[in-house]
Amino acid sequence: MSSTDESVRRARPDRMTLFFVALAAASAAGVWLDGGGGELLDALGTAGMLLLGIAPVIIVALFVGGYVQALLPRKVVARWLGENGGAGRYLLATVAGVLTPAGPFGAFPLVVALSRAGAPFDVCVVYLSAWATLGMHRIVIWELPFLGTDFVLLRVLASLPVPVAAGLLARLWLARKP
Amino acid sequence: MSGFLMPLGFVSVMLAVLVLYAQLRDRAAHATAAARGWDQLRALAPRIPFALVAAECIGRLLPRDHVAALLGADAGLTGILAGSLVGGLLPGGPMVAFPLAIALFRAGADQAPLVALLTAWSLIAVNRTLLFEVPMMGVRFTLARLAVSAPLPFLAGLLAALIR
Repeated sequence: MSSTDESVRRARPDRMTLFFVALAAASAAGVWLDGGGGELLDALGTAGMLLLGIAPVIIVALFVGGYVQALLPRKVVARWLGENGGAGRYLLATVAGVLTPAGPFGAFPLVVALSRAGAPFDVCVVYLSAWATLGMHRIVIWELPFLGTDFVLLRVLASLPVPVAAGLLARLWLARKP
Repeated sequence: MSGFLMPLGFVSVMLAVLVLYAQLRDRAAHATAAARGWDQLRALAPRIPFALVAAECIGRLLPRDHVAALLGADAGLTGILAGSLVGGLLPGGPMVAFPLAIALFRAGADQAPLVALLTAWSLIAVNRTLLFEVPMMGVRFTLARLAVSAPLPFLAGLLAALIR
Protein backbone atom coordinates (compact mmCIF):
# COMPACT_ATOMS: atom_id res chain seq x y z
CA MET A 1 0.00 0.00 0.00
CA SER A 2 1.41 3.36 -0.97
CA SER A 3 0.83 6.38 1.25
CA THR A 4 -1.52 8.01 -1.29
CA ASP A 5 -3.64 4.90 -1.15
CA GLU A 6 -3.91 5.04 2.64
CA SER A 7 -4.70 8.73 2.82
CA VAL A 8 -7.40 8.42 0.16
CA ARG A 9 -8.96 5.56 2.03
CA ARG A 10 -8.85 7.30 5.39
CA ALA A 11 -10.32 10.55 4.10
CA ARG A 12 -13.14 8.84 2.27
CA PRO A 13 -15.58 6.93 4.51
CA ASP A 14 -16.96 9.65 6.79
CA ARG A 15 -17.81 12.20 4.14
CA MET A 16 -19.30 9.54 1.88
CA THR A 17 -21.37 8.02 4.66
CA LEU A 18 -22.67 11.47 5.65
CA PHE A 19 -23.54 12.12 2.01
CA PHE A 20 -25.65 8.95 1.89
CA VAL A 21 -27.29 9.67 5.26
CA ALA A 22 -28.28 13.14 4.02
CA LEU A 23 -29.48 11.78 0.68
CA ALA A 24 -31.56 9.08 2.42
CA ALA A 25 -33.06 11.59 4.87
CA ALA A 26 -33.95 14.10 2.15
CA SER A 27 -35.47 11.53 -0.21
CA ALA A 28 -37.35 9.79 2.64
CA ALA A 29 -38.77 13.15 3.68
CA GLY A 30 -39.82 13.67 0.07
CA VAL A 31 -41.64 10.32 -0.04
CA TRP A 32 -43.33 11.06 3.29
CA LEU A 33 -44.56 14.48 2.11
CA ASP A 34 -45.62 13.06 -1.23
CA GLY A 35 -47.29 9.80 -0.22
CA GLY A 36 -47.57 9.82 3.56
CA GLY A 37 -46.31 7.47 6.27
CA GLY A 38 -47.66 4.31 4.62
CA GLU A 39 -45.75 4.95 1.43
CA LEU A 40 -42.57 5.69 3.36
CA LEU A 41 -42.91 2.45 5.37
CA ASP A 42 -43.42 0.55 2.14
CA ALA A 43 -40.28 2.12 0.65
CA LEU A 44 -38.26 1.30 3.77
CA GLY A 45 -39.55 -2.28 3.63
CA THR A 46 -38.47 -2.66 0.00
CA ALA A 47 -35.04 -1.20 0.78
CA GLY A 48 -34.75 -3.55 3.77
CA MET A 49 -35.51 -6.60 1.62
CA LEU A 50 -32.88 -5.49 -0.91
CA LEU A 51 -30.38 -5.08 1.90
CA LEU A 52 -31.08 -8.58 3.24
CA GLY A 53 -30.63 -10.07 -0.24
CA ILE A 54 -27.54 -8.16 -1.21
CA ALA A 55 -25.58 -8.04 2.07
CA PRO A 56 -24.36 -11.67 1.97
CA VAL A 57 -23.27 -11.27 -1.67
CA ILE A 58 -21.31 -8.10 -0.87
CA ILE A 59 -19.65 -9.60 2.21
CA VAL A 60 -18.49 -12.71 0.36
CA ALA A 61 -17.41 -10.67 -2.67
CA LEU A 62 -15.29 -8.29 -0.59
CA PHE A 63 -13.32 -11.26 0.74
CA VAL A 64 -12.97 -12.61 -2.81
CA GLY A 65 -11.46 -9.22 -3.62
CA GLY A 66 -9.18 -9.50 -0.59
CA TYR A 67 -7.89 -12.91 -1.72
CA VAL A 68 -7.24 -11.85 -5.30
CA GLN A 69 -5.34 -8.79 -4.09
CA ALA A 70 -3.33 -10.94 -1.70
CA LEU A 71 -2.58 -13.72 -4.19
CA LEU A 72 -2.01 -11.60 -7.29
CA PRO A 73 0.15 -8.60 -6.49
CA ARG A 74 -0.34 -5.50 -8.63
CA LYS A 75 3.32 -5.58 -9.69
CA VAL A 76 2.80 -8.96 -11.37
CA VAL A 77 -0.25 -7.74 -13.30
CA ALA A 78 1.52 -4.53 -14.26
CA ARG A 79 4.49 -6.53 -15.57
CA TRP A 80 2.24 -8.79 -17.67
CA LEU A 81 0.53 -5.79 -19.21
CA GLY A 82 3.84 -4.00 -19.74
CA GLU A 83 5.52 -6.93 -21.50
CA ASN A 84 2.95 -7.71 -24.15
CA GLY A 85 2.70 -5.39 -27.11
CA GLY A 86 0.11 -4.39 -29.70
CA ALA A 87 -3.39 -5.75 -29.90
CA GLY A 88 -2.60 -8.50 -27.39
CA ARG A 89 -2.05 -5.83 -24.79
CA TYR A 90 -5.53 -4.39 -25.33
CA LEU A 91 -6.99 -7.86 -24.91
CA LEU A 92 -4.98 -8.52 -21.74
CA ALA A 93 -5.90 -5.11 -20.32
CA THR A 94 -9.57 -5.87 -21.04
CA VAL A 95 -9.38 -9.26 -19.35
CA ALA A 96 -7.55 -7.77 -16.35
CA GLY A 97 -10.21 -5.05 -16.05
CA VAL A 98 -13.06 -7.55 -16.25
CA LEU A 99 -11.48 -9.74 -13.58
CA THR A 100 -10.40 -7.00 -11.14
CA PRO A 101 -12.50 -8.02 -8.16
CA ALA A 102 -12.65 -4.71 -6.36
CA GLY A 103 -13.95 -1.19 -6.34
CA PRO A 104 -11.88 1.91 -7.09
CA PHE A 105 -9.67 1.24 -4.06
CA GLY A 106 -8.40 -1.84 -5.91
CA ALA A 107 -8.45 -0.63 -9.51
CA PHE A 108 -6.74 2.76 -9.27
CA PRO A 109 -3.62 1.57 -7.43
CA LEU A 110 -3.26 -0.93 -10.27
CA VAL A 111 -3.48 1.86 -12.87
CA VAL A 112 -0.83 3.78 -10.94
CA ALA A 113 1.38 0.68 -10.99
CA LEU A 114 0.63 0.16 -14.68
CA SER A 115 1.58 3.64 -15.64
CA ARG A 116 4.74 3.50 -13.48
CA ALA A 117 5.65 0.23 -15.19
CA GLY A 118 5.57 2.13 -18.48
CA ALA A 119 2.14 1.24 -19.85
CA PRO A 120 1.03 4.02 -22.23
CA PHE A 121 -2.12 6.11 -21.74
CA ASP A 122 -4.24 4.05 -24.13
CA VAL A 123 -3.55 0.77 -22.28
CA CYS A 124 -4.48 2.40 -18.95
CA VAL A 125 -7.70 3.66 -20.58
CA VAL A 126 -8.54 0.18 -21.93
CA TYR A 127 -8.02 -1.31 -18.47
CA LEU A 128 -10.11 1.34 -16.67
CA SER A 129 -12.92 1.22 -19.24
CA ALA A 130 -13.09 -2.58 -19.08
CA TRP A 131 -13.14 -2.52 -15.29
CA ALA A 132 -15.81 0.20 -15.25
CA THR A 133 -18.17 -1.14 -17.91
CA LEU A 134 -17.57 -4.91 -17.87
CA GLY A 135 -16.14 -5.59 -14.39
CA MET A 136 -17.45 -9.00 -13.38
CA HIS A 137 -17.38 -8.17 -9.71
CA ARG A 138 -19.84 -5.31 -10.10
CA ILE A 139 -22.03 -7.21 -12.54
CA VAL A 140 -22.37 -10.13 -10.13
CA ILE A 141 -22.88 -8.10 -6.94
CA TRP A 142 -25.05 -5.26 -8.18
CA GLU A 143 -26.31 -5.58 -11.67
CA LEU A 144 -27.62 -9.18 -11.84
CA PRO A 145 -29.61 -8.99 -8.59
CA PHE A 146 -31.20 -5.67 -9.50
CA LEU A 147 -31.68 -5.81 -13.24
CA GLY A 148 -31.91 -9.49 -14.14
CA THR A 149 -30.13 -11.72 -16.65
CA ASP A 150 -31.83 -10.53 -19.86
CA PHE A 151 -31.02 -6.89 -19.39
CA VAL A 152 -27.50 -7.61 -18.14
CA LEU A 153 -26.77 -9.76 -21.21
CA LEU A 154 -27.95 -6.97 -23.50
CA ARG A 155 -25.89 -4.38 -21.65
CA VAL A 156 -22.75 -6.53 -21.61
CA LEU A 157 -23.06 -7.29 -25.34
CA ALA A 158 -23.56 -3.61 -26.14
CA SER A 159 -20.58 -2.66 -23.94
CA LEU A 160 -18.17 -5.31 -25.25
CA PRO A 161 -16.55 -2.95 -27.80
CA VAL A 162 -16.29 -0.06 -25.31
CA PRO A 163 -12.81 -0.78 -23.82
CA VAL A 164 -11.10 -1.29 -27.19
CA ALA A 165 -12.95 1.70 -28.70
CA ALA A 166 -11.79 3.79 -25.73
CA GLY A 167 -8.22 2.60 -26.29
CA LEU A 168 -8.29 3.45 -30.00
CA LEU A 169 -9.73 6.90 -29.25
CA ALA A 170 -7.03 7.35 -26.60
CA ARG A 171 -4.38 6.51 -29.21
CA LEU A 172 -5.89 9.11 -31.56
CA TRP A 173 -5.88 11.60 -28.69
CA LEU A 174 -2.19 10.95 -28.08
CA ALA A 175 -1.37 11.26 -31.78
CA ARG A 176 -3.29 14.53 -32.11
CA LYS A 177 -1.54 16.23 -29.22
CA PRO A 178 1.61 18.11 -30.18
CA MET B 1 -35.15 -12.92 -3.24
CA SER B 2 -34.26 -15.65 -5.74
CA GLY B 3 -32.44 -13.05 -7.85
CA PHE B 4 -29.73 -12.95 -5.20
CA LEU B 5 -29.09 -16.70 -5.03
CA MET B 6 -27.17 -17.03 -8.30
CA PRO B 7 -24.78 -14.16 -7.49
CA LEU B 8 -24.33 -15.50 -3.96
CA GLY B 9 -23.56 -18.98 -5.29
CA PHE B 10 -21.11 -17.53 -7.81
CA VAL B 11 -19.12 -15.45 -5.31
CA SER B 12 -19.18 -18.31 -2.77
CA VAL B 13 -17.65 -20.73 -5.28
CA MET B 14 -15.03 -18.13 -6.19
CA LEU B 15 -14.18 -17.61 -2.52
CA ALA B 16 -13.96 -21.36 -1.90
CA VAL B 17 -11.55 -21.81 -4.84
CA LEU B 18 -9.36 -18.90 -3.68
CA VAL B 19 -9.29 -20.10 -0.05
CA LEU B 20 -8.30 -23.58 -1.20
CA TYR B 21 -5.60 -22.20 -3.49
CA ALA B 22 -4.17 -20.04 -0.69
CA GLN B 23 -4.27 -23.00 1.70
CA LEU B 24 -2.23 -25.11 -0.74
CA ARG B 25 0.15 -22.51 -2.16
CA ASP B 26 0.42 -19.41 -0.01
CA ARG B 27 -0.92 -19.61 3.53
CA ALA B 28 0.28 -16.11 4.37
CA ALA B 29 -2.35 -14.81 1.95
CA HIS B 30 -5.19 -15.70 4.35
CA ALA B 31 -4.27 -12.93 6.78
CA THR B 32 -3.72 -10.31 4.06
CA ALA B 33 -6.97 -11.25 2.33
CA ALA B 34 -8.96 -11.13 5.55
CA ALA B 35 -7.51 -7.73 6.44
CA ARG B 36 -8.23 -6.26 3.00
CA GLY B 37 -11.77 -7.66 2.96
CA TRP B 38 -12.49 -6.45 6.48
CA ASP B 39 -11.15 -2.92 5.72
CA GLN B 40 -13.41 -2.62 2.71
CA LEU B 41 -16.40 -4.06 4.53
CA ARG B 42 -15.94 -1.57 7.35
CA ALA B 43 -15.88 1.31 4.88
CA LEU B 44 -18.94 0.13 2.93
CA ALA B 45 -21.20 -1.28 5.66
CA PRO B 46 -22.43 2.01 7.14
CA ARG B 47 -23.23 3.44 3.71
CA ILE B 48 -25.14 0.64 2.06
CA PRO B 49 -28.40 0.80 4.08
CA PHE B 50 -28.69 4.58 3.58
CA ALA B 51 -27.80 4.31 -0.10
CA LEU B 52 -30.49 1.67 -0.67
CA VAL B 53 -33.11 3.75 1.16
CA ALA B 54 -32.11 6.83 -0.85
CA ALA B 55 -32.28 4.99 -4.18
CA GLU B 56 -35.67 3.44 -3.38
CA CYS B 57 -37.14 6.79 -2.25
CA ILE B 58 -35.69 8.73 -5.19
CA GLY B 59 -37.17 6.09 -7.48
CA ARG B 60 -40.60 6.70 -5.98
CA LEU B 61 -40.27 10.46 -6.34
CA LEU B 62 -39.40 10.32 -10.05
CA PRO B 63 -42.12 11.83 -12.21
CA ARG B 64 -43.25 8.85 -14.27
CA ASP B 65 -44.57 10.69 -17.29
CA HIS B 66 -41.36 12.71 -17.59
CA VAL B 67 -39.21 9.59 -17.29
CA ALA B 68 -41.22 7.81 -19.96
CA ALA B 69 -41.07 10.82 -22.28
CA LEU B 70 -37.34 11.32 -21.78
CA LEU B 71 -36.08 7.72 -21.66
CA GLY B 72 -39.02 5.67 -22.98
CA ALA B 73 -39.15 3.49 -26.07
CA ASP B 74 -40.65 6.30 -28.18
CA ALA B 75 -37.80 8.69 -27.39
CA GLY B 76 -35.52 6.92 -29.91
CA LEU B 77 -32.07 8.43 -30.42
CA THR B 78 -32.97 11.39 -28.23
CA GLY B 79 -33.68 8.90 -25.42
CA ILE B 80 -30.27 7.29 -25.85
CA LEU B 81 -28.64 10.74 -25.79
CA ALA B 82 -30.67 11.70 -22.71
CA GLY B 83 -29.67 8.43 -21.01
CA SER B 84 -25.99 9.21 -21.70
CA LEU B 85 -26.33 12.70 -20.20
CA VAL B 86 -28.25 11.57 -17.11
CA GLY B 87 -25.77 8.73 -16.52
CA GLY B 88 -22.80 11.04 -16.89
CA LEU B 89 -24.17 13.41 -14.26
CA LEU B 90 -25.31 10.69 -11.85
CA PRO B 91 -23.36 10.88 -8.58
CA GLY B 92 -22.74 7.95 -6.27
CA GLY B 93 -21.51 4.38 -6.55
CA PRO B 94 -23.23 1.19 -7.69
CA MET B 95 -25.42 1.19 -4.58
CA VAL B 96 -27.14 4.29 -5.97
CA ALA B 97 -26.91 3.68 -9.71
CA PHE B 98 -28.38 0.17 -9.94
CA PRO B 99 -31.37 0.64 -7.63
CA LEU B 100 -32.06 3.90 -9.47
CA ALA B 101 -31.80 2.14 -12.83
CA ILE B 102 -34.46 -0.35 -11.80
CA ALA B 103 -36.63 2.49 -10.53
CA LEU B 104 -36.31 4.22 -13.92
CA PHE B 105 -37.13 0.93 -15.63
CA ARG B 106 -40.32 0.62 -13.56
CA ALA B 107 -41.13 4.24 -14.32
CA GLY B 108 -41.13 3.51 -18.05
CA ALA B 109 -37.53 3.88 -19.26
CA ASP B 110 -36.54 1.69 -22.22
CA GLN B 111 -33.59 -0.72 -22.33
CA ALA B 112 -31.35 1.12 -24.83
CA PRO B 113 -31.43 4.47 -22.96
CA LEU B 114 -30.71 2.56 -19.74
CA VAL B 115 -27.71 0.84 -21.33
CA ALA B 116 -26.45 4.31 -22.35
CA LEU B 117 -27.15 5.61 -18.83
CA LEU B 118 -25.28 2.80 -17.06
CA THR B 119 -22.37 2.96 -19.51
CA ALA B 120 -22.06 6.73 -19.02
CA TRP B 121 -22.32 6.39 -15.26
CA SER B 122 -19.70 3.63 -15.14
CA LEU B 123 -17.22 5.51 -17.37
CA ILE B 124 -17.67 8.98 -15.89
CA ALA B 125 -18.72 8.26 -12.26
CA VAL B 126 -18.38 11.78 -10.85
CA ASN B 127 -17.59 10.72 -7.25
CA ARG B 128 -15.07 8.05 -8.21
CA THR B 129 -13.33 10.39 -10.64
CA LEU B 130 -12.99 13.15 -8.06
CA LEU B 131 -12.08 10.90 -5.12
CA PHE B 132 -9.72 8.46 -6.82
CA GLU B 133 -8.74 9.32 -10.35
CA VAL B 134 -7.83 13.00 -9.94
CA PRO B 135 -5.72 12.46 -6.78
CA MET B 136 -4.04 9.30 -8.06
CA MET B 137 -3.71 9.84 -11.82
CA GLY B 138 -3.71 13.64 -12.07
CA VAL B 139 -5.94 16.14 -13.83
CA ARG B 140 -4.43 15.72 -17.31
CA PHE B 141 -4.88 11.95 -17.38
CA THR B 142 -8.43 12.26 -16.01
CA LEU B 143 -9.54 14.92 -18.50
CA ALA B 144 -8.05 13.04 -21.44
CA ARG B 145 -9.72 9.80 -20.35
CA LEU B 146 -13.07 11.54 -19.91
CA ALA B 147 -12.71 13.16 -23.35
CA VAL B 148 -12.11 9.86 -25.14
CA SER B 149 -14.92 8.19 -23.14
CA ALA B 150 -17.52 10.84 -23.97
CA PRO B 151 -18.94 9.33 -27.20
CA LEU B 152 -18.97 5.72 -25.96
CA PRO B 153 -22.19 5.63 -23.88
CA PHE B 154 -24.21 6.80 -26.88
CA LEU B 155 -22.58 4.11 -29.04
CA ALA B 156 -23.32 1.41 -26.45
CA GLY B 157 -26.96 2.55 -26.29
CA LEU B 158 -27.20 2.54 -30.07
CA LEU B 159 -25.69 -0.95 -30.20
CA ALA B 160 -28.18 -2.12 -27.55
CA ALA B 161 -31.05 -0.79 -29.68
CA LEU B 162 -29.67 -2.59 -32.75
CA ILE B 163 -29.05 -5.91 -30.95
CA ARG B 164 -32.53 -5.98 -29.51
